[in-house]
Order: sequence, then C-alpha cells, then structure tokens
Amino acid sequence: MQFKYKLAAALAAFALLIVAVWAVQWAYLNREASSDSGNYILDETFATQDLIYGPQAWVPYASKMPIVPGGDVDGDDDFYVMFVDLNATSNLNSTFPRVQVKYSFTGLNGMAAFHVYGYIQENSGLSWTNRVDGDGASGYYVTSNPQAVSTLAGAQAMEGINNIFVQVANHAGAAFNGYGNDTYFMKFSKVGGGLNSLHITTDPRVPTGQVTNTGNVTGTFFVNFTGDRVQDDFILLVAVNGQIGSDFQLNLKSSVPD
Amino acid sequence: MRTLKQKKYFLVYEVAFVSLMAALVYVFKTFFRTPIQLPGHTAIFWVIPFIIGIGLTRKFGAGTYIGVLSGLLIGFVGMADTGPFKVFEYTAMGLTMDVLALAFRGHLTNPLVGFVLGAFGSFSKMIVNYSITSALSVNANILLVGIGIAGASHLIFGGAGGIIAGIILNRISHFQFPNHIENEKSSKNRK
Repeated sequence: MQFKYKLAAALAAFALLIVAVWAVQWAYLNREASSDSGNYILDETFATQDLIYGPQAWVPYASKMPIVPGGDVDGDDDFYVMFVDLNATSNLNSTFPRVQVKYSFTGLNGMAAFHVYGYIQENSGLSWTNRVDGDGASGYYVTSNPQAVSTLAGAQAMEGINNIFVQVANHAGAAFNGYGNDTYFMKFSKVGGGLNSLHITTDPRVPTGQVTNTGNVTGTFFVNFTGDRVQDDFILLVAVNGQIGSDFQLNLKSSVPD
Repeated sequence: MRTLKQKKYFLVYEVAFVSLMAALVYVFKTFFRTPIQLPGHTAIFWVIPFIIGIGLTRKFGAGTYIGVLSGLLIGFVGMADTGPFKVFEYTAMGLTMDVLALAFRGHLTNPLVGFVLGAFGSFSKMIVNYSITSALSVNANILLVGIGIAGASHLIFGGAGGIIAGIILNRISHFQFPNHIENEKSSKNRK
C-alpha cells in the first residue's frame, strides 16, 4: 500500500477512535439512574456542640483549600467545622455508583458548605477530596437567612492543615476506627493530588459533579468517586458560618442507591 | 558490512541507547508536571523517547524494549498505583509503536507518522490500563464515566508528542549508529 494511503487510513482510524470513545461515554451517561435510594445507613442529628473545629476559612488538604470557591483561605470567613462519617461507599454494581445524602437544617443563619473526603483502609487515611476551585470543581452550599458571625466557645483550631487527626461527630464514632480514638488521619501527599476522583453532584448522571448553591434548608445530593481508587468510606465535612445559636441542628441521612 | 545477525539483533550500543530512552520515559512520566487537568496529557512528553528510540535504531522491538524497561522502572521505582502491572501498559504501547513503525518504515521522520505512532501508542496504553484496572478492582461502570475525555486526551496529547518526536527525528536523522554507516558504505561499494 502506498504511504499516503496508509497515512490516510491511520488518520481515519484516529478520528474513528475519538468518535467511538465519546459514543461509549454518551451511551453510558444517558442510561436511567435507579430511583431506589436504599435503606438509611446513617440517620443522625447534629447540633452546635458538634461543630468542634474553627473558626477558619479553609478545609484540610496538602495546603489550605478554601471552604467556598474563590475564598481567601486566610480571610475572615469564620466557619465552624465538623466531620460526619457517612458509613457508606458507592455500590459499584449500580448504574451510577454513589452515596445519597439527605440533609435538613434548622436554625441555619448563614452558609453551610459540604465537602467530601475519601477513606481507603489500606491507605489508613483521608487522601482524596472534592476539588473546590477551577475545572472539575464540585461542592454543595446552602445559604439561609445570613446574620452576623457568632463565636462558638467550645470550638478549637485544627492542629494543622495536613497530617492531622480529625474527630468525627457521629455518636457511634468512626466506622474505620484504625487508631482507636474515633478519628481519621488527613494524609495528602502533595498539592494538586487527590482532587480528581471525589465529587459532589445533584444529578447521578453527571458523576463528575458540579458546584451547587441553594437556599433550600432541606435537600439531597450525592457523593461519589470516579477512577480506579475504590473508596471504602466517605466522610463529610460540614462547615457553617453566620449566627450559630443553640437552635442549630442538622439532620443527615446517608444511603446507597442500587 | 553488516552481518545478518547485526541487522536482525540489537548491538550493545543500541541496547544502551534504547535503555537510555526508557530511562527518559521514566523521568518524563515521574517528574514532569503540568497544570492541565486531563488524564493522559503527559503523553506529550513520554512518547518522544519511544519514537526517537525506534527511529534511530531502526529495528523491530526497540519500542517494546523501551516499554518493558520503562514500565518496570515506573512500576517498581516510581509511584504507580497499579505497581508492577504498569509494565503491561508500556509494553503494549511500545509494541503498538513497533508495529506501526514497521508499517511506516522509512517515513518515521515525517511528523504526521510521528503523530500516528504517538496517538495510537498512547491510546493502547490507556486501553491496557483500563483493562487491568477493571480486572483488578473496579466495576467497568466507573471507568466509562470519563472514557470520552480520557480517550480523546490520550490520542491528542500522544499525537502531539509524536509530532514533536517526528520533528526531532527529522533534525537528528543524519546521526547514525556505526553499523548503519558501515552498511551504507558497503551498499555504495557494491554499486
């Protein structure tokens, strides 16, 4: 075969491959998601005293990562933070593997931000989280009746940004209690790493997630992972600012849809 | 004049050269970072040593050798998630490039041929990676989420690296191994 025909055939195969991979992805993402949300694995109400960390404008990572997109990590966004063990991970046999989170706030007078961390038992730490800023960012932010920032007396600053133990607020403690003190270890190896596989989404058919800002104090979102790092457990970070009174409560329910 | 053995098998300095290319693949893969958030985009760097290795030695198997050696380095010395299984990915990539180089023999200095080698080599690596990952741990469901972006970026960035390799090869193709020079001299003498 002449050189030019070989080259033309190879370039045609190149174009065909690009079309084929997009067609496979399109076919995959256009399937129906299961409407069965599964049984609740977590159904617990958290209160003011569970917000044990803060005030701060960042979430733990290899370096300070803002709680809200574009936020100043050293700014005065005085969020108080708690960690909630969802006791669940995606069912890999479902059409769109994910964990469903239902939330219900009372007494929210400011913003609440949700972020997710991933735990792999053999890694013995939290080394994955959702990207807050830039391409591929996802997150869930609830704003209701914003009022002036209050100070929580019982909260304390985190020991550091990374390589720290964080306490979960669950009454039953940590599902993977490898250290025996109901904590998880933040273990990010480098800046930029561990930000691509975990996502927060409101649509199962968009597994890579999106940034959602809402005023609904009750609602549902999903956390999931993509890629080849199979997570054993998801831990939710909840950060709240504004006026946090004694009436503040957050009910969280997690389940694994089929 | 080159003997049949010299034409068929790798000579010591050719082995040394392709080993250096394999080491370069390891360096590119492990230490080069870019701000682009796309899977497979680093192929733009590490297809270059593959194609230059194949182009200068002009022997079938050079790509496979580079693949095996770089896969071993990345799998065992690097920080690869799938560890030793990396060797299969890079071997598949090298083998694909070897076969394509055979099909386009004598035209490897053409950047478009470099594009074809780079794109298909990088894509074959991705396919083997997906096969190993789904066989080892993950339901194929999750892998298919981003296969459109991952596949396209492997093809495009691999192809872009191939174009660079083709241009480099074009500029350094006058550099020849001693056995190639001897062979050319003997061909002229025969005429």
